Amino acid sequence: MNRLLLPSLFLLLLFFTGCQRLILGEDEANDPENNFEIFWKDFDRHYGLFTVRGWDWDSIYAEFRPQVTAQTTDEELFEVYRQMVEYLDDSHTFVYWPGRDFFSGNSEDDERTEAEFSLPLILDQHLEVIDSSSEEGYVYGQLRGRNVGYLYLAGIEMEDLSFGDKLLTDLGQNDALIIDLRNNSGGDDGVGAALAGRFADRTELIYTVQERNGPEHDDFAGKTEYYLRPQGTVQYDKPVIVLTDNITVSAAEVMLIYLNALPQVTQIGTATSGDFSDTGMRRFLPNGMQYQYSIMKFLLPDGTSLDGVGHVPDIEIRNSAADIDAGNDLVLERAFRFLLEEYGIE
Amino acid sequence: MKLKYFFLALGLLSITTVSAQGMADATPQYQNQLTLTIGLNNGYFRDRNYSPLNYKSSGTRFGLSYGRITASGHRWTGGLALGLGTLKHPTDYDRHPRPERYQIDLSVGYLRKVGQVTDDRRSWLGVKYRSTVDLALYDGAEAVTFYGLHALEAALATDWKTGDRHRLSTEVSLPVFGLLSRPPYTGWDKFIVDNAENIPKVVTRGDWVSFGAFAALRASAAWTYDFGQRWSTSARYDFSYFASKRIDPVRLLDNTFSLSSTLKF
Repeated sequence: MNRLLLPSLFLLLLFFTGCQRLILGEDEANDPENNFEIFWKDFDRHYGLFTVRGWDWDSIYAEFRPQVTAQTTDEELFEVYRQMVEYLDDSHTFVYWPGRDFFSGNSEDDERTEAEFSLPLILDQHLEVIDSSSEEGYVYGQLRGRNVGYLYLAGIEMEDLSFGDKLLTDLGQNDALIIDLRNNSGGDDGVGAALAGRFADRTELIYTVQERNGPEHDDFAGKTEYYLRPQGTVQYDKPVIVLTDNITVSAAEVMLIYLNALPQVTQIGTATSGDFSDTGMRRFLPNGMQYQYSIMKFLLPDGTSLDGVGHVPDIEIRNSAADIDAGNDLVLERAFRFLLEEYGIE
Repeated sequence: MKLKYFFLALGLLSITTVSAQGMADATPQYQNQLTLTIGLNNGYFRDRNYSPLNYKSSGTRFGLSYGRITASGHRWTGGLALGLGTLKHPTDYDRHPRPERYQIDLSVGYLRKVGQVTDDRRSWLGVKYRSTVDLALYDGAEAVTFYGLHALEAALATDWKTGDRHRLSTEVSLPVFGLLSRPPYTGWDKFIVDNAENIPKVVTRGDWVSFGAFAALRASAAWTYDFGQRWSTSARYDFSYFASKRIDPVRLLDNTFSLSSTLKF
């Protein structure tokens, strides 16, 4: 019995005493310099787009490390983080000070771009709505006086993958469809692939994904391949116009990789955001701030990347806020003109 | 609040076992036993794949186990335990959601009677298969980490009779070989995204490894009071430790104090 006592007492001691340091080792120091080091090093070891975008992260260390000292305040440190994130120009990368501040990369033009689009204007002037869901972020219907269907997606969030069946049942009789991805904030790549498959007449390799898997900037796991595949019993093979702007991002851009592989698809508007990678997990700092970053690279079958470039439209045109205020959506009107000139569709 | 529920459950367990005294009959030997356990968990959590921070963990654990002693005195065991808890770090404050922690522990084992057997002392040595899944989630799934260890372990159990109605039992087990599942280097990848609805598939993706690639130990000590031939109650302490340096260092230590009620049949 006595032999039991010592181990038992030791275990009880572990439980009752503050033995965190003994078991886990030292916690990270919560001082400005260490918070900077953790932040920079974590990006250095895990961020997925250094080589794709050609970023020199060491130069960022050289520029900002001297600015951080033991006396740096939280506000000053957040500003340093903000500039580091801004350098990466990636809307999937952000720094977050809970309750205080937030900054996402590649977001400087968002406010202006938001003002260059108005769904209420389209609803008011052009659309007879057939179905909509504010929760899933879609509205579709018949464009007044035209044999053209219209789908607006605020995100790629439709929970029911048979959404495409319903869409084509309601709009499939039209001579053309307009899919409006302006101000689209992304969502689920799988949902976009399922919807794009309703327009596909072939199976084709569309892109590959590789996650960062090592400390070097060019350490990546093997390629996971994604294919365009026909979905559903009926596919829509008539002209499709996709409208985009600089906010069109992430899963919306991934859906557009599928759609742009199809000959009947024409993209009109401005270039998309150019941010394809999934984000990694939320990261934590000793000072309570958090951040997140891209962890993978998307490559087209020819090995090129659209990260940082986005989908460049076939026809480039943009609204101004004044156009929208005046009740004119020049991008949508350009789509009407293209359908008439190219296909004789009114 | 948790303490309130714990003591409430403790009271219920006591009432159950005390009222069961009257049910005791004269049958001297029962071969099967079913045990219900409820406990409080306190631990330490360091997973560099998830965070550079060290966390404390606290929560509750529930368990249901079955044991059978054969005519030859050998033991079959099986059990399922579930843990629900949260992680805490000194930088936590109201604006931070608290990370949630979920633990699942499923085991089956066979232990053979060993050594000199007396009325007062018995020992068993054998092997167990144990599936452990430890999952931490922050703010829904904004941050996720997990480890799954599906391993064979060597186990040693002893039982001392310390009085007419009470005894002390201990058990130590050491995982030696199994499937270790951890998040990928970046914590998240397309495999997890594409299988987000199939958690078992995610937590069984891994490598077959043996002790050395990980270090793990489990130990427990329980003091049991027999209210009669059919019912007993135990106060139990469980300790578990897991560490690995594969991809990112992880160290998890858990202590659980629990009460259990056992039906023998």
